[in-house]
Amino acid sequence: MKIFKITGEFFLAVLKRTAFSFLDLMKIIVPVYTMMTILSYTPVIKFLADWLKPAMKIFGLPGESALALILGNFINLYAAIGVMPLLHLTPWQTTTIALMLLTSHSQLLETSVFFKLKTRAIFLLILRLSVAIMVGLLLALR
Amino acid sequence: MNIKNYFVGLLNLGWKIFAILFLIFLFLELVQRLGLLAKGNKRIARGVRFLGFSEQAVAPLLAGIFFGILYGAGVIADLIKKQGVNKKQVLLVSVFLAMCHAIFEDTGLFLVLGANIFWLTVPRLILAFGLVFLTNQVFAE
Repeated sequence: MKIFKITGEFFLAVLKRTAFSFLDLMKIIVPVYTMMTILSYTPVIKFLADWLKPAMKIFGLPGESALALILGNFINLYAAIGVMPLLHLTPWQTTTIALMLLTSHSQLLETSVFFKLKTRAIFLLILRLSVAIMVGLLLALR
Repeated sequence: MNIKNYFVGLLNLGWKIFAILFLIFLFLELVQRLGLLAKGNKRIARGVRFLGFSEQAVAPLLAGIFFGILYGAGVIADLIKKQGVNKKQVLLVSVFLAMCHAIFEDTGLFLVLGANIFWLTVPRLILAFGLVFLTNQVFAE
């Protein structure tokens, strides 16, 4: 029975991909989560949150959620996911940050990918950042 | 310091991420093995012609949408090397993928955190289609 032979090998392949991807993710999520936990006992986060409060208010987000946007854009989505559970967000705020990040993230890596393709990388970078801001404003309307 | 909260939070996040990744890779591996993407190629090409995509563009587009921007870019780079793809096609694929890539993995990770699935997918697809349509009108061949 060919199909049974395939199943075992198939699940192993899936498990392997999952494990590799999971470890890759955790390599970033765990340090970020740890850093953020430690920082939450210092005045740093509160200082940053107060400073960015007016800017984040236009998206209906608390000041400290700027951290998720910054980490997501400069590092990657995993880094943003590492801090988000610690930000005490409502589901709607989580959705807002997620949509903003999904349109614009990992800009260092992904913009360099577009550069490599010799396509209009700077245009794409500006496009993604502006679309992210626009969807953020849009979701804040609710 | 509340060390227990730290571990509970991390484990809670960790197992959910593992579970969603497993489901996603199960689906993606199945799609890959059954060759579903290749089979649908011609039909999809007809469907996306109005956006300015050529038949060549379908493979990198699908690779990017399903597996992520690095895969999509890899397929484009390969096509450029093997058969030469015009700059406009590369731009159109790039615009689409800039708005919308790795739809299962990236979206799934945010669902773990409690985000709304409708708002993470539909607006992005509309934006991707709309912006590719505009780019096709605005940029010359």
